[in-house]
Amino acid sequence: MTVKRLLAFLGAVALIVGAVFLRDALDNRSSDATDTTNKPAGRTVTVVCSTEFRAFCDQLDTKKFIVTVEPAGATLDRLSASGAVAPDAWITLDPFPGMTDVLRNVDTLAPLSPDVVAVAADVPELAVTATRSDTLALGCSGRSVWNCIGGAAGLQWSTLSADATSGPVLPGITDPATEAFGLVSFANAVGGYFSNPALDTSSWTDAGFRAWMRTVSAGVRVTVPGTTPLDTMLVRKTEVNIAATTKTQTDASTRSNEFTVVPLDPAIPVVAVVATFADGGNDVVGPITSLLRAGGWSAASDPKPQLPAGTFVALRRLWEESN
Amino acid sequence: MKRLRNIVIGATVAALVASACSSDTAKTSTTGGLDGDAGDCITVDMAISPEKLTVLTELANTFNDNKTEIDGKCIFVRPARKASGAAARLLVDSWPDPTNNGPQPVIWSPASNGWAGVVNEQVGSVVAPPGTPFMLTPLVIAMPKPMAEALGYPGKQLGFSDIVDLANTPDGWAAYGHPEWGAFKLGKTNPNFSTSGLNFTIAEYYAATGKTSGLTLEDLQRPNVAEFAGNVEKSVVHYGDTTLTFLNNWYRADQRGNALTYTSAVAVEEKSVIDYNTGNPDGILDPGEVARPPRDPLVAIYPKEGTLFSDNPFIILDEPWVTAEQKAAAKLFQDFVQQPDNQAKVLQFGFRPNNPAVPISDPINAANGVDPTQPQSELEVPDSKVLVGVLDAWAQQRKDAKVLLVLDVSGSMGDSVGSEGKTKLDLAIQAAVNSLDKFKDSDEVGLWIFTTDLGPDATSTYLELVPTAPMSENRDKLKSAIEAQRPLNGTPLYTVTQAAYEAAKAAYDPAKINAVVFLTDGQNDDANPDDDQQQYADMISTLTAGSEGVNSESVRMFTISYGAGADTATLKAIAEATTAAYYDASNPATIDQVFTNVVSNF
Repeated sequence: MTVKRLLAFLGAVALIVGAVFLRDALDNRSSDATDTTNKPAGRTVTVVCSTEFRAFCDQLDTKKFIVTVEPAGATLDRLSASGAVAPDAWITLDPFPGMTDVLRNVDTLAPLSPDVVAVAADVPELAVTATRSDTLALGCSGRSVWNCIGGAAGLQWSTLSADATSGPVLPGITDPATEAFGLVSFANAVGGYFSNPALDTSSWTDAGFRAWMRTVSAGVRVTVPGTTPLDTMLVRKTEVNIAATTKTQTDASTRSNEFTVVPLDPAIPVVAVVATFADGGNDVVGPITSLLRAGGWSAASDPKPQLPAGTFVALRRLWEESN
Repeated sequence: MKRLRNIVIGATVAALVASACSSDTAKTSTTGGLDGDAGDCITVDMAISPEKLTVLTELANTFNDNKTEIDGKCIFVRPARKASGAAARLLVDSWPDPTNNGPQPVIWSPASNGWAGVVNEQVGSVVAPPGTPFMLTPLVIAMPKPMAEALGYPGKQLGFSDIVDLANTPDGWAAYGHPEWGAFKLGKTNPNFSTSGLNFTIAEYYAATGKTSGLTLEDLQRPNVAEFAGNVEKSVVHYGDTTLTFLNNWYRADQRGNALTYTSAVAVEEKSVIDYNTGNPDGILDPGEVARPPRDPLVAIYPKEGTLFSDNPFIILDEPWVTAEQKAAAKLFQDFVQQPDNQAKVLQFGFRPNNPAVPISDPINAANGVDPTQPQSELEVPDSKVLVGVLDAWAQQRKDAKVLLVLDVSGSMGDSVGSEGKTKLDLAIQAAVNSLDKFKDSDEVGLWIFTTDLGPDATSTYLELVPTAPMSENRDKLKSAIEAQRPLNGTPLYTVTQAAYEAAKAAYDPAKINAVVFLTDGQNDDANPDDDQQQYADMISTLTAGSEGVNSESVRMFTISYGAGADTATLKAIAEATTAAYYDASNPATIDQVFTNVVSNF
């Protein structure tokens, strides 16, 4: 009897110990799997990445960099405010770093004067659903495509070509007020309207342009944060049927048979830049350049930023005031 | 005694070990979804619209088996079926009575994000934040292919305007060269319950205004808009809580060779057209059920004016019963279902993937009556105030109903249920009284009770307590009469069914939905079993004969099988013979919800 009780007791103890070990092992495995806080040993380099670069920034060495991903507009608004604390580096599109000091200057704040280097370039494009490409080519023949589709945004495709299948013209962009590529896409639209990439702000009071802007702001679809217009179009072409996109995105798509690429002329380039605000920020230039090149971006033709920051500040304001 | 204690300790420890390891006790329940012990896992209960139960159950099983963890705790996702409108009403009421209504959900996945707006508007705060779409399916107008071809399909782009024209043509199908098809009949679910019904109703009001976006409350109040909507509603066969009722009835009619006489068009999701054409109208193949394609396949009409999508959002609720841990677990499952492999699964079930990495392909193809290149345009979902306004406007403009309530007051209705001393009849009375509020003043409703030995000479099997008349006159009379009932004698099921049907038929009103709501808890019991077989045959023969033919004056018998002892098979046969629907209230505690669902047909 005593032996049996002892064996039962030992058995129970063994089961408890086993359960504790097992639970502990599971807990450890879980914490390994879910701990995503990047805490580099030694010198920490803080990097802010604009949303468009999330996939690349997620691949940066977490032992060297603490990465935050957010919309370029959020970074811009924070850095242009009084008391701003800059990260060591900001990976975004030209000319967002320059826009920071333009806005600070307006508020008589000292410039942050980051070093800005262009690290890679992409080509802006439009992609139209395959079933609409003939209509677009016919209806927009002889005109800049953004001029054409901006003026038809939200209207029936039959306004471009009489025999078109029913449904509205739905150009899609990311939000120019918050997303870096959204603002570059809007710049391409405005440049397309004037057939001039120089973006002369004095011409924006033109009555024809104001009418075109009203159609654009009413009819152009802003895609939800976290999605690209191309992806939105592929999932739901009743939401977007002409997507502002880039060569890298269209080349990478596995569904290229479902859309037709429309080159832009004129085209304002998409240039990835790294703005460094402190020593150490430069450390990210090499890795991000390699990642972007491996991801299909081409080399930047000039290491210096090219786009007029002040004009882009005005462009952002134009969008916000129109919507 | 001490030995017993050791056994208990051993068993407890073994249970601890088991719970530390897994929660593999899940199994698919007979009513769908997952049953099983979640153990000490973080439980993520889901309330999901019925059409995606199979796919989400499969995905939840896979996810649970993957043993994803948060801080060392496993996650157990448990989908349960709940119609979008029913879940919305429960959320407005803070999801009471989980025993009967199902567990309070962490994730709500109605068919459309629009429902979240309805809930938030009615609650007055955002308890259902905008959800992440899981998969898509557009609203289409399903028609038998010969009927669509008569309207010009596939060469002509059809739309709501064609449906409205047809609904308003006195000659019906004769105007299109097919007098043999009779009047145009529209199948449309109740927008308070069903997303297809809600979306079609929104589209109806857009069509009335000529708009495709920006519907306003002022639009809804315009007389011409109300008239337009009323004209569309006039052609409705009946409403209901789910499109599956229409699809099942259509399929049964098709198997008898008369699909073209039941209804001409039904507003459904694209996915349902695929299910129907593959011989699986309710989308669920029961064990042993063999899918047999219909004789007359359906085709999906994508309205030229635009349509609305069911986007099947995952809404992680901001409710007091949802913990931060459950929200984090829900987010992991939400990410899981978006993965390309899992999005490929949704395609297998006829839904359109939400992940752009997964292209639309089979079974979304022309062979199944659908077109992957459609729709070409979309209608804007109105804001939440306007959505509520649409429901209010529809409540006034929907087709009137003429309904005879037939209530079983046999002795077995006096059986007690639950622990509060209530009888089955008590619960049925409460449910019937509650349902009266769902009728509008112009609906006509009457009341019969039935049991044996009724009347002054104890020879009647039923009594007409309240003659059918408009609710503006009858509402209080019905309430008093229903509340006065007490359990009595036997259950003359067959003869009373036939008598009620014939009475409703004699009083048929072509401008209304004519129906009988028949509630019983028993088997046929009229003290003479010798003629039961003949009575049954006569009853079914009468119901079937009266319901067939293009010009039949259809009286639909919606039957409620109440309690465990009801003759379910007969009640199903009665409903099927009149192309109506059978409702299961085998658990008496559900009778209130079941009554609500039955009344959704009107």
